[in-house]
Amino acid sequence: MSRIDENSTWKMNRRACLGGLGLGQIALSGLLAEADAAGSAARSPLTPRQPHITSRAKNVIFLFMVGGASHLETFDHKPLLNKYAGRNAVDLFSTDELDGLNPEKDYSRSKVLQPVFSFKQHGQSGMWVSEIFPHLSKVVDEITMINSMHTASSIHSVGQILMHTGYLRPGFPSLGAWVTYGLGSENHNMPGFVALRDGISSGGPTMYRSGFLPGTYQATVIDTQAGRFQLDHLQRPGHVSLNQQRRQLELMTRLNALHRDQHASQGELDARIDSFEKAFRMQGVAPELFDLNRESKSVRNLYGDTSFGKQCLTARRLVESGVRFVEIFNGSQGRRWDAHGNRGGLINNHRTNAARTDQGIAGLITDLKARGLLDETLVVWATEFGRTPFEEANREAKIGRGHHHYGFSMWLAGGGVKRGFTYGATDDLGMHAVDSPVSHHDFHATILHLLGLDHKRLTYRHNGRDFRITDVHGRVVDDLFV
Amino acid sequence: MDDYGLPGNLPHLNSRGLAGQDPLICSSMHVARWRTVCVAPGVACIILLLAFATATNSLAASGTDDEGIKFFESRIRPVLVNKCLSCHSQDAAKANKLKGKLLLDSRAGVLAGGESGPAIAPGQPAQSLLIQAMRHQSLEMPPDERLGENVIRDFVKWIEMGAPDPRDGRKVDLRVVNLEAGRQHWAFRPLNTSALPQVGSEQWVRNPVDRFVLAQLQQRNMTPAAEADRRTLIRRVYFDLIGLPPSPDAVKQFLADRSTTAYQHLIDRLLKSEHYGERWARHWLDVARFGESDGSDVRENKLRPDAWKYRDAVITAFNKDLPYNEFVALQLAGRGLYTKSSLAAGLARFPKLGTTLKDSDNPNDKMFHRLDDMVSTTGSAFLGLTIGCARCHDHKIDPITAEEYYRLTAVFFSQVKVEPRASDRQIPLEIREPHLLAGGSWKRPVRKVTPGFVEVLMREESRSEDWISGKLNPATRDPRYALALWMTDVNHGAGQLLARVIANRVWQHHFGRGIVDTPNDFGFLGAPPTHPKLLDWLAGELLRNGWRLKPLHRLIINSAAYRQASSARWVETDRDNHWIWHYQTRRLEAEIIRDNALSVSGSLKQQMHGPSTRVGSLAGGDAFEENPRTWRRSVYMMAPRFDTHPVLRVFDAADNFQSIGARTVSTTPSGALFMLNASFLWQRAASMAERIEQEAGKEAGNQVEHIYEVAFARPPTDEERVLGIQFLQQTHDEDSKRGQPVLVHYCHAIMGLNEFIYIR
Repeated sequence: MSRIDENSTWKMNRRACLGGLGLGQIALSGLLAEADAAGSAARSPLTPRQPHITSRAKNVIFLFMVGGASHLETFDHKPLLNKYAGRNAVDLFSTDELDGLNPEKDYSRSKVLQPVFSFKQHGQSGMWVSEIFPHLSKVVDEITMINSMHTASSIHSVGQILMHTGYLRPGFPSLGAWVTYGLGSENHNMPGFVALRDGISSGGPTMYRSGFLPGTYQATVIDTQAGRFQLDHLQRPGHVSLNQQRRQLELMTRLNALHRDQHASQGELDARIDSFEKAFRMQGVAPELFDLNRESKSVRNLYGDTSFGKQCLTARRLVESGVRFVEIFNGSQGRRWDAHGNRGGLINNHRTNAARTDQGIAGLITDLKARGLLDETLVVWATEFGRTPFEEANREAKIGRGHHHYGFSMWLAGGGVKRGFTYGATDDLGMHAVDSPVSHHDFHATILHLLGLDHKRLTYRHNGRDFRITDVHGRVVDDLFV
Repeated sequence: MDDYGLPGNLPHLNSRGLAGQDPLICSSMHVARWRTVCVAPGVACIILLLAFATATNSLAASGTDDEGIKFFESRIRPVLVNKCLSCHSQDAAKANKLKGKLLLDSRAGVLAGGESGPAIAPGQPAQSLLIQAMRHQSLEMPPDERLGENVIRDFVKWIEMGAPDPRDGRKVDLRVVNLEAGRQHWAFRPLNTSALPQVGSEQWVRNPVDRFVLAQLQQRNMTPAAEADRRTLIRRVYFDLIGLPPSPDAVKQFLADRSTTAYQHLIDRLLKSEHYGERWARHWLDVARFGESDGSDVRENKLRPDAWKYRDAVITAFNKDLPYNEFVALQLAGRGLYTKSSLAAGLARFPKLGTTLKDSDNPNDKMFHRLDDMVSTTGSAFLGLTIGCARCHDHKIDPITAEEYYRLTAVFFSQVKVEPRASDRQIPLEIREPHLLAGGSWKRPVRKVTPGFVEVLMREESRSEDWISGKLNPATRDPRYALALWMTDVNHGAGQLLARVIANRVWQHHFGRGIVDTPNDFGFLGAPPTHPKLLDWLAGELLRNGWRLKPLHRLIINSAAYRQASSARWVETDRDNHWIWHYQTRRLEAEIIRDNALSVSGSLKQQMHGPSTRVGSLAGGDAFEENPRTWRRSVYMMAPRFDTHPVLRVFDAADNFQSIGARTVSTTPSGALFMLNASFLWQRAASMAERIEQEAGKEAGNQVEHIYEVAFARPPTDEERVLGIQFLQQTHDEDSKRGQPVLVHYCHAIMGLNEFIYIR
């Protein structure tokens, strides 16, 4: 098996770089220079790596809707629900089917609920989209819609963790970490994996951590909740000037080199010297990358003046600069897509959530396409599960749907997937994925494949066993590929 | 022993020697899992994806229906015979060709299914694995051809009919775990007690440890490195044994002591220090997946206000050098035996330290999550066995059966109290007695089980009942007590593996790498020992010393092997130092890096024991503001799962969701940014500068000299001194405008150096 040999990239030899230089000649002035940066990148665990197979996409922007977006109110058009509306769920579905859903809920008195929004076909492809996504409707011809997703849990935290790691429990590497582990990163000034989150969702940090993979591959997290788009500890303390820090780093580089020369066998020491250089470069580069004012007004308008729009624009800038995997969490704080009756009600909830994200998503696709980046960037719209075809039986004044993992919708765009294509289907009531079902494992295998990674060969040995994101599952859904 | 409130009634613990031993053990890789499957590379195995929706309760009431039988005979049986039975029948099993432990040649076999779960769910074709496999959706069956849609339709119809099937015959027990072969695995064999190896030259040998190391080096024509100088040694043993840097005075004292026993005395002094327990407890807390919250959901990550009592008990146990077998027994046997002392009560918390499953209201899910955590951690922590892998099926690699897994859950069954939350619907606890479960699902109980242990670790004539029956101690038949007896039983139970595993952990933390490089997996997939005889000898020494760890530390630290300097001599031959030809430079752990910064800046509070100190909040970043109240050793920082201090995040502290045998060491720009900009380190630098000025005055040369003594236990070289003085004497316009004196910048740079966080 072609497990990536960590040591070969990790244990590098810095002596070659520093050995020939006399004391005093190693000036930090070179730190920001591209040539030096390229030199250290060649020895870093994030060095770009050859994919296993021909890749269609280079980068990923992963949009995750926290809380469970209803397939029946977004992309899965089920007119028959109107006919069955009001019928008892127990008359249509077996006890096992109902019991297999969210264990907290009792559906014995639930009634089928018709879709609360109207659907129309859009674009040349005639893809069905509900009324709450007017902007997205205009770019459906760039999208591959999957209407036959299913996973193994209707519990938020478990579903979120499954969708990110393939496993049911916290502690396994996230998709972004696997991808960065497999491919490295093309921007040696920045981490390979960046997560923009708007709070903390129930699945927790496992969704962007590296689990048992080396920490290099975990996401660098930026919490944008307070409108702050910045990395931890990126800011020099107020009492330290740039020149002071530069002099300090220069001293450290020299002293570390002296120390390092007594330890010929220690690649780790070299790596750490490099990490300071990279951190210093990040301080120089990252603020600019995160500065959206560098975009023209028309581009900013394209994404809309919302926090989500800014996240999307930031993601594009990061990917453009060579960051491998950017994930945006939308609605983390309070699981905002979780449309129960007692949480504002389905209509209000999904209308608000869609309004918050619609323009940003469409802007992202449009912008990526205009820049010629869409072909090499895979945009993913995902959620932990869909919502039940029936209403919850509660005493709330407002209607809501429950958690539902048997069948729901997610989509992909760019990065080598078909344009204006709809794949798979749920049954007529939107209950089960029946036509060409796609599990979260299949979904992971497919994304990896688009990036040139064979999910069966992308393994890491941990506690005596080779692990992969798909465990022992996963089918590459090649019907989706151009 | 009475000090700890131990009744002294663990009859075999101290009294028996090593005579007639042959304990036999199993292997491990700890992946506690929740209804997932452990698999060896290349072994195909599938979980039923729709496990939640599986229905098996309609178990084919229509099995003898005439029309159904006719349908089976005409449409189903021919396909099974022609397409399936060559790999899925008892004949195939006899010919060693059985795949997936699935038998389709009997009705029982079809219903029971194989390692992926039942082949069919009668009445529910969409959820039947067989149909999914025929459609090549999950499995692909038959593997090399896809059967026609009409054939698949027949099977769908057959399952809709309730899968009528006239064939009888029982599914045979297909246990493939081979005890005899398993007992030959190196880790399960009796400790090797052969004579010490002969070496060419005795000159280098300080104690028996060195004979084993030297013999291996000589076999490879390699030579050991020279002994490290005294300054290197004192810094190494300080961090190694107590996790703190030596003070300049301590270094001076050690250098001045020219007696031949100076080094031994230093070791003895450190082993008596209470900081020893703080340092070594942290190693064990990784293994015990210690955390101070229930860890199931980041939003409802309920704190466990009393969890620190376990941490304190571990610190105390190490400091008192509680014999390891008692340390283990107290963690397993728990209440009912030794509730008299706080030490015993604290250690008894071990089984319940793990996470709970909060997001399900189903008490059955919660209960089995807890049980799995207990069994898996017990296997990993004490025995280096991946027992958790036998949850859904017999262990794929190691000789551990699912039955043994569930017998171990039976041991802990009384521990699991489910606390149902108020919810719309009270879900009944369906499994009220220990059961063997099919495929790891409580929805599929197979039969009741009684408490029991891992058979491959017992002498052939021994049975779990020997420990459970009360024969050894008539006072109790508590299965947890029996587990403790079995686990620590050197003569008939798992005691010899137990000794090997802990001896390896001790070695691992002294050298940075275990003799077995997979400290939580001594099984077939684990790394084989580089020095098997040394490991066995160390384990034997542990037993001969009454299971006390301090003599083992002494042996290792006094060896010439440990005293070697770092070197580059054989780096091309053995980069990772498997053969111990030098002392490999290694990074301090996250907690020790923080402790070191607190220590050199003179800020560390000597407040031992007691409730943990909460540092920071969920917000991350510099929201982890420290203050004098928080400046305790890191082992006392509260360890809520999910919510960790940035120093722990950037320097790879253990994830406390499951047992961690060895931490990773990753080097990231985030770590460097933390070092460069975190307020914590700038504050430490300011304190350090104050301390330096107080102790060394204002002259730059003296300051540099003293800083090196404080931070690195050595004077600076000429180059380093010149660089330091130059840095301190620099004047720049902007410096006068900014707040911090240049000495603070210098101290801060020193704390960022590799030498500050690496020992050699």
